[in-house]
Amino acid sequence: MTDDGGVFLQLAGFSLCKLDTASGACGTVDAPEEILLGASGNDLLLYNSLAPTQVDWVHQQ
Amino acid sequence: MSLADRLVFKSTEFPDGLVGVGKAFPRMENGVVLMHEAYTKSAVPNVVILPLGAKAPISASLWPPDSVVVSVFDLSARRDHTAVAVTQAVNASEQRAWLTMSLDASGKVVSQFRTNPYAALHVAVNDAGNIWTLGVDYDAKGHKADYNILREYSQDGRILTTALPRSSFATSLEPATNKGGLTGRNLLRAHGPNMAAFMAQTHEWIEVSPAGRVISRVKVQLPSRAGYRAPVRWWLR
Repeated sequence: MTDDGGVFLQLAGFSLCKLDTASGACGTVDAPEEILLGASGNDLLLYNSLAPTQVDWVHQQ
Repeated sequence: MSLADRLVFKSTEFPDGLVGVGKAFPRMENGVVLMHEAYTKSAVPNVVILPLGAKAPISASLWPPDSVVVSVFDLSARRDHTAVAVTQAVNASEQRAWLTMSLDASGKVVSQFRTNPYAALHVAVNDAGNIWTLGVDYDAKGHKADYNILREYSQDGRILTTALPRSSFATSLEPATNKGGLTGRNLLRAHGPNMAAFMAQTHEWIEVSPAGRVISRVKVQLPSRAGYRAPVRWWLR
């Protein structure tokens, strides 16, 4: 969850959706090749299992 | 093209071997990456805490006296990098103790309490200090009563709050992904001042206020083209 209240779920197959906690709708945001590790502030942190010695910071828009 | 390809603006290095194939999936919150072994048979390090940007992780061995097997189910960290782990210890007579263990920022176990017959399988902590868990009451399960429970403890192990997810009622649970099924894992995270649980079997979101009041219950509508029917990860800060 980001500081601005966004809740993100990553599905098997890597699809990423953003949850509307009022309605339960979870619209697809993207289909990254990376694995979502968490969030810091409003940034998402992702890593690629093929390059497991770094985590990438991504601006959530 | 991936999300990270388009938007990544910086990278933080991990120590080699911390994550990857054959390792437990990490959890990240409050500026730390948390790892744990699922199952150990000796007093070896079974918890790793890595503050982002630190050169070396902190290792800890959760190994209660007289244990022969210890399972670490989940691990959560506060902003000050203290942490709480929910574990199962088994002795040579196959007696089980479900233990909630608090660690200081150096990884030292500073307190623990037993929760039998309740097994805390997931944990989340917030800055207020209390410990929230999502788990199974095995006494209730034996009587086919409601058994999936959200429970809040004080740091010294007093039960403060109990809440039942809606999915506790008359729900036939599917096996999780690691048991050969398609269902993802249940998860528990801090959501600002609240606690929030995701029940993978029923796609249910439940959010509880610090006072223990259920303030949100919703059925999550997953994208129709998802690779599987259930999320495998659900992340809160």
